[in-house]
Amino acid sequence: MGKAGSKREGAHRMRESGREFLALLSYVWRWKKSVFAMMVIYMVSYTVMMTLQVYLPKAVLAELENRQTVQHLFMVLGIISVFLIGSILLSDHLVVRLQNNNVILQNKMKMDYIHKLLYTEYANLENTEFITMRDTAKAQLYGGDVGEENVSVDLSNFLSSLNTMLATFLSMVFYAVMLGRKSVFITFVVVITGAAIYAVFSQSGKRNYQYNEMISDAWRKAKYATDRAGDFLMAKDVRLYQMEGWLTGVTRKYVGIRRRYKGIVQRFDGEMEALVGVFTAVQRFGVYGYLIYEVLFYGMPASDLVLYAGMAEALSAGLNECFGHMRRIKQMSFSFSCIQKFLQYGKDTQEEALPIKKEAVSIRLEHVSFRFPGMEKDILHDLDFQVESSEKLAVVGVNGAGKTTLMKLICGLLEPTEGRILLNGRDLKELAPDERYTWFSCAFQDVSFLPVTVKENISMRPEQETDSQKAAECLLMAGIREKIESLPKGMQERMEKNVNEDAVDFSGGERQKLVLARALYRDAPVLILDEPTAALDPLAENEMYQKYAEFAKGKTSFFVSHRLSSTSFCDRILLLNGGRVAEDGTHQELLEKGGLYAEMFELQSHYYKEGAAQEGRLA
Amino acid sequence: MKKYGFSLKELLYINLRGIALIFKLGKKVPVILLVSLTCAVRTYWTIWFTAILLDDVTTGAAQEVIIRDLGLFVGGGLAFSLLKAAVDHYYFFLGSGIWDAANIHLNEKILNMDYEYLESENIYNKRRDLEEMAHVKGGGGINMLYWNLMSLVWETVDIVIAVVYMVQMILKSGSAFQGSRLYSVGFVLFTIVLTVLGMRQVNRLHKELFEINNQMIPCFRESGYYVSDYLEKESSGKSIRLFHQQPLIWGHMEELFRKMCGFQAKGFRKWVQIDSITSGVKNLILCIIYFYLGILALKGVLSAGDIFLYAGSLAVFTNSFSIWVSILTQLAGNTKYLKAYFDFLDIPNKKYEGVLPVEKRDDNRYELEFCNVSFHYPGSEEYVLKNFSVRFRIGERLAVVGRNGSGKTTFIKLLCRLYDPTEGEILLNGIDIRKYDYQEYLSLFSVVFQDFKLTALPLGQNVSAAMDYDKDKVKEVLRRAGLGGLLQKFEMGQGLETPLYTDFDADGVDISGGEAQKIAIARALYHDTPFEILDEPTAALDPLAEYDVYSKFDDLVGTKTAVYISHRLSSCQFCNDIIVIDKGRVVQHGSHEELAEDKKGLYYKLWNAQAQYYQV
Repeated sequence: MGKAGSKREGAHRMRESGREFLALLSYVWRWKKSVFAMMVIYMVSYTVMMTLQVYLPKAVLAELENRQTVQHLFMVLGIISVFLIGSILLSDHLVVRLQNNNVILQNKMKMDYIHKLLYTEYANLENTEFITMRDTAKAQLYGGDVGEENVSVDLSNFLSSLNTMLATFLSMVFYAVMLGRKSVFITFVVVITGAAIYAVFSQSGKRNYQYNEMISDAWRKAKYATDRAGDFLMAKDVRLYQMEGWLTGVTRKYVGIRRRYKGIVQRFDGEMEALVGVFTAVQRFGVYGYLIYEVLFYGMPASDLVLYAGMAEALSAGLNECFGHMRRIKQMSFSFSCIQKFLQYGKDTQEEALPIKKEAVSIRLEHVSFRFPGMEKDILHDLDFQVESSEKLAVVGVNGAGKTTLMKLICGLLEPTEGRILLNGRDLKELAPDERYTWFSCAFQDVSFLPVTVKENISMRPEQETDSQKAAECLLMAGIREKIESLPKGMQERMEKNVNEDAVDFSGGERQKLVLARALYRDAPVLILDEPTAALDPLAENEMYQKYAEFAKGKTSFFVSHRLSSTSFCDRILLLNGGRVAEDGTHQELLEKGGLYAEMFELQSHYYKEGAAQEGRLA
Repeated sequence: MKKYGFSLKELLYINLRGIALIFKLGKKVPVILLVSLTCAVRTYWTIWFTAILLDDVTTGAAQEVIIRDLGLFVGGGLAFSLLKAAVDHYYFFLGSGIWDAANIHLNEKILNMDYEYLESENIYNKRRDLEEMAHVKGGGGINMLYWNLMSLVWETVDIVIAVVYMVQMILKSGSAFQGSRLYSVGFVLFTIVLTVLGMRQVNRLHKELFEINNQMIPCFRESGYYVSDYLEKESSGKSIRLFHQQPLIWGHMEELFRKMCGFQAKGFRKWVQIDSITSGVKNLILCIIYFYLGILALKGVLSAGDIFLYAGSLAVFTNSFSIWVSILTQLAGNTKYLKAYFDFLDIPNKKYEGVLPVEKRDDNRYELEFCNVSFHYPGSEEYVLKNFSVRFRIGERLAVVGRNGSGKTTFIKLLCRLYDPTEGEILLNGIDIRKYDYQEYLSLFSVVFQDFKLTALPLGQNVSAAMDYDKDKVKEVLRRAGLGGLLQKFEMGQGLETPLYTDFDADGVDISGGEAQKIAIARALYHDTPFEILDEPTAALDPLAEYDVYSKFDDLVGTKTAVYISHRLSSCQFCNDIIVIDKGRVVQHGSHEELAEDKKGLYYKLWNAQAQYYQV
């Protein structure tokens, strides 16, 4: 029963592979039809080339057998060489041209991939299913890890594989017919041994598969440990805790495991290759034995021996190559289908730029809950509150209370699982994501910059669309103008050292200020600042608090922090705990309430009170 | 003449050093290479026996002879393919070891390098070049040398044999043209000249191709940054959407795409020429060989088999020679990667390391003092610390406060001898710390750096920084650092052997920033050294967790000497001794009470900036 089941499954898999292959073909067809014309021409010129190469020695021998003149020899060889070299030049040209097209094709697919990452809904970036599909697609397009153990198939050879497969197939049919006309026996011997060799290879592929999984797992782990040992950023910890022995030990352990499996695989591959050697020997014996027999007993000319032996070798080699490319094409079609599945996953947003909104905003959350698909518990549960226009709200809570998730929901990056978020009375869900974002200026805790100029990183627009004056003002407000102006190229300085060698390195605090400047430049009616002072020193932090009223003037604003001092310049405080609104009110109200907020404030202010020092030391 | 930026002598020297390293890393490699010499002959086996069999049938040799020759042909061929299978796969197996060994070798260098190199841009760039070398097809450097070594041996043997046959043919041909061998000599010279001319042309094109590829590197780097470091990340994902960065990025990507396709097309034209010249010349020579040999045969000098033999070996020659040259070209191009690798290994450690052992004391009475220390980073003129003097009181807590960039972290780096002072000295028990054994000196400190790093290896290993550790002690320090809850969660999995994050193992457990910080504290506690240094240990903690750390501070540190750096001035209240740093100088020194009195001082300003919000 199991066997029948696996057979059915096999048939299903075959149909699936066929469909995947056709999908890839039609993708290429829609892209560039001339590619197929090139392949057809190549098939013919390849067959001509291969046949002439086999025919060349036979022609010379035939001249000898027929005792021809030098002139005749010259003529025959002249004709052959003109066609041979002509077909070779044509074939080579086509091969390289197809290869070039393949690179462009692959780049096109990469652009599809990049486009998807740019325009997919934000929620997908935090969705494990999406991330898995993305990683698979990326491995197919960009290759897996660097190094010898690159197990993933990339699509860089699809056109040439297809091309070679078709061409070898045509020439094989041609040889098989030619050989078959001479002797069915030889054709039979070659095809049977060829099939046996193929069986050996596919068998070894299957057996190695399980080991290769283990090998690449061990390789990945060894590489991780090696990378840590070589990681400059780890160097301080490595020295202080004398981690050399540990990291090298872990590396050696997994290198050892890999080596063991690698040994098994290589030995097995060696045995398989030896077996192939045996089949090749059988084939040669059959072919040459038969041909010599023909020459000795049936008077076949020796030149024909050379011709047919050559054809038999070519047929056998062609069989192997053809099967090999078939296998590769099957894998590539599968790769392609992975990429397509990724590209079709979930919704994409629109592309047009919308003007940033200017009107005042009130926000209302109605019984909002949120969890990621597949999660057992809500991250946020039943939030219900209103934020008036121009109100300054402080959002506080312990780590993991859901503060950042709440901000992502409010600005529309994520959508609530239950409940609604109303922006001036309109449900956020009804707006396209791009339109939602036009209401918000956000500075999140995790910052990232583009490898472009400081100025462009502030405006998020190309140079020519940037208002330099405004950018400079925002830098001033964010408290980093002085630093930027001290740079040789000022705002034109490029960022991100790993791309631009001459880029400036900014410290954590400076990067935080730049992100703030970016949010200020945008100047949307809702301002969201997520832990904007975490990396700032006390004076800079205080300065920021002082300026906050100016930043948030006329805006509905959210200030997320676990420093409770931030609450003093906000109109209202929202305390989140365990995904719920635990407390909501002004600083004074919450202190009087004597709940969690009061407790947290008491703890944090404890050591700011005079005399706490002795108390702390004595305790 | 300089080739690929090297003189011939340098090329030879660097590559020989590479081969020597390969032989050192893989002791069996030379043996395998010797054995593989035999395998090189296999190319000729088919040629020889096809020729012999052809002669057998055309001259009507006895049946037994034919059967014997057929048997030798097939049997010998089989023997060679078995030998080749063994040699090939063994060489493959050894190769993966070479790759690992070369990497480990490099990392050992990094692990033992003077720390100051690791913050130098120059060294960082060198390291990145080495990374890039791994991206060259087949892996540049030692790896590429290794993978070409065997083919180099084979092709050399094949060429030598081919030359022998060419000479033999010239000798035989004498009788065809009234005893003159000039025609044959001329013919052989002609083929060689044709081959060499073709190769030179191809070489030139390869160099141009190499240039084009070099021009593409910045494109790859930039697109790599976007694809792997920007587009995937949640943080940039947010900015992309919220700030509508899509058109900006897409514009850049399209430009890159156009640029790369442009380079690609240029490279493509070179490739067409290279391939056309290579196979055009090869096949032209093949046709000429057959024509010439045909003439000789028609004149009765050569047999049918001879045609096969000489045509075969000449074909092997042109083929092997072009492979041989392309291997050498590749190795010459690879030399710069090899040199980069060796240059990195050759970076000398400059730091003076003494031999004085650090006195072991159970009472932790180590006295440390900064005496008039000034410091600027190498390659910079600007002093980060200036005339810096401070004396640590044994068993007490020292708080270091100051604004961003005032030199607090640099102070810690000097203390741990990651850098040496430019002027002045640091004394341990009255002796300059440079005179102590470096490893022993370092083992006095446990530091939680502001940018501490954990690995994705198991929790227990992270805390102990070793593969084998004292389980109970690890559990104890984790509990003391306030991670009892996490420990319980982990007990359900693989306990202390549970990997952190998922980079190393898909079964790993993700931890929050606050938990990571506590693990780093636990690591410092586990190492139980006389000095505990905490640089912003509560930055990622919420008020409750922060209070937890503060209130336990005395317990955590015990009788040790502690240094505490924080932006949260409340932490100063634990410390009996506070120094305030401004622009690399100690501007204030005293207890909290004393410093808070000085209303003009920086300390008062810093303290008030925060405390004002908590005075109810």
